[in-house]
Amino acid sequence: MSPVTDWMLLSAPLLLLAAMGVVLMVLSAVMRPMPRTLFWGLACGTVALSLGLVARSAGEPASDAFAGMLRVDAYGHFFACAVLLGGLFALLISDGYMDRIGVRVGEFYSLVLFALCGMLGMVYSSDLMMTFIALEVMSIAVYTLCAIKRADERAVESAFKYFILGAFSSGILLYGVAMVYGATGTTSLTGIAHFLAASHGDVPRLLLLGGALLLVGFGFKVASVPFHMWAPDVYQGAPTAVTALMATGVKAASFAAFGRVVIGTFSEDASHWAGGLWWMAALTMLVGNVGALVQDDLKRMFAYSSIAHAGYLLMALSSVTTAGDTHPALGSLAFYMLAYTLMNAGAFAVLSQMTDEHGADATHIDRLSGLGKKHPMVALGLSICLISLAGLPPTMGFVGKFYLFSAAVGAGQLGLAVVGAVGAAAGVYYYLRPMIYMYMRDGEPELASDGRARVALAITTALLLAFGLMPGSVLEWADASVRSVLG
Amino acid sequence: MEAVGLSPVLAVSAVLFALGVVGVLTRKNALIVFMSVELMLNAVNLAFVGFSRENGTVDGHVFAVFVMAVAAAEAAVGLALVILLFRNRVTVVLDDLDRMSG
Repeated sequence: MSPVTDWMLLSAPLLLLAAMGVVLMVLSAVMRPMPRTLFWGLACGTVALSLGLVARSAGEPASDAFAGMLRVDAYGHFFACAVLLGGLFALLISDGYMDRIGVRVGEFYSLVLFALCGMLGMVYSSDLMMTFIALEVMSIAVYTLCAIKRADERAVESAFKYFILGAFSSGILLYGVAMVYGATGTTSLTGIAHFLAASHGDVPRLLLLGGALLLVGFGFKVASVPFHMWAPDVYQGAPTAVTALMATGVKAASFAAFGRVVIGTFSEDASHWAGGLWWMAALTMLVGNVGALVQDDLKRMFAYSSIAHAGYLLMALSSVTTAGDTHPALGSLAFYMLAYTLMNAGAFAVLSQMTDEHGADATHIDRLSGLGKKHPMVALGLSICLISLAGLPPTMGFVGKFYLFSAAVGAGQLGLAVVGAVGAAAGVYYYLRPMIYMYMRDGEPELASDGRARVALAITTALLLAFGLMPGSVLEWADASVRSVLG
Repeated sequence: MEAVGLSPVLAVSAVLFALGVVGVLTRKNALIVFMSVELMLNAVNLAFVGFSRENGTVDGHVFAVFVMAVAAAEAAVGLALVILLFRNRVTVVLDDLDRMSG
């Protein structure tokens, strides 16, 4: 194979998303009013096709594309699947939802594809500069998506907050990249790893500064304490379908990029990093879970829950970094990320149906009252997602949490595991509270009847139960994927 | 004319970056905050170019061009959002953005 066809094949899922994004953008300019079904179908088809391409190449050996900017390996494939699944579910719930809130523009689908393209760039990126550019491709699309309902004050406010803090954190991240480049002369992750291995613990101060700035920058992106304050407002104000994309795809892509940098590169010099990660993980688990306890708006509750889950994933990252190759459950990070994507997609499929007659989001917890009687299947689906989020059996969330905590204990992170367990106990309270409203209170819940959203809910709950009862093959795959980054 | 060494370049870059960070954290006007973010990105560019010359590689120069392109895209979206904000709220003061809390 010639080098040109080689990199085109390797990055086909990425290029496909970008190309279709451009096509839809042009089509949306000439076809007004937008033929909804056509746009939705094309977008879904494209995402499904790139998911197929990723799955097909999953077994192939790792290789580099774009002159070492992308590393197409098992780690990338695993997270690419999680990201694309999140995107597919977000698209499934968005068609009816966007119509209900009165946003009928083709740009929406184009922007979702651009965002997904950026996310794939992040999960495969093996160069800090590439990570930054892919991150911006994703972020700029998502800022715009937040404000897609232009007359909605809260949506615009949330978009603006997201934009300012996102741009601010990108600046910090980028300054970190510049410092790393100055210290090592390269931005390639393998190059930096070689430099660290050769330095034998005698790391230049410039590189330490760069690493700290990277930690802050990524900390903002994954919404970890103390850089989490944007998340509740942004999650609450953004249209629910966009929040679903943020809670699934954006989260998975940010963690994939963060994980590759921390596990693949800076674990060569864990001693300087472990402390910072430890504190971030502990604080994030505490603040996220405590914050979620007092929320009555479900979207805001899910924002704090997303912070709490960022904490659990940071705990996984921290234990992989300290234990390295000898780690008992390397895959716990990747497995939990996939579980988190599925359970959020299911929960947001229900939230997206909670709109009032004016086309505004009505996600107050009161509006769930009596749902168990009126819509028993939807209530059952949401209950399974909530049980999984709380980490109770027989769901994928339980298996994920089990591996996560046993991995942390196995890696000697007992303190972190205790903090996490306290947080998870609080989590059981606020995840089960909506179930009390659904089954033990009377009310007249109004739920839009959205067939596609219910399909999304049905698929996610089926997957959560299936992987909860038979996690073996996924867990093996997750294990192999993280191992491929350790080298 | 004598060539400038790396240290002065980095010092200017660090000062610019610090000004940007302080601006974002303390100013109330959305446009000024946005300007401060751009200042941070320019500090990064200066650092990249300085390091690139020191290392004798061209990478840093290329990165600076990338960063400019990204900053331009960010500015396009950011300014559009400021206009949208003003249309909805007739204010660009960040303290007034309090429609959500909890």
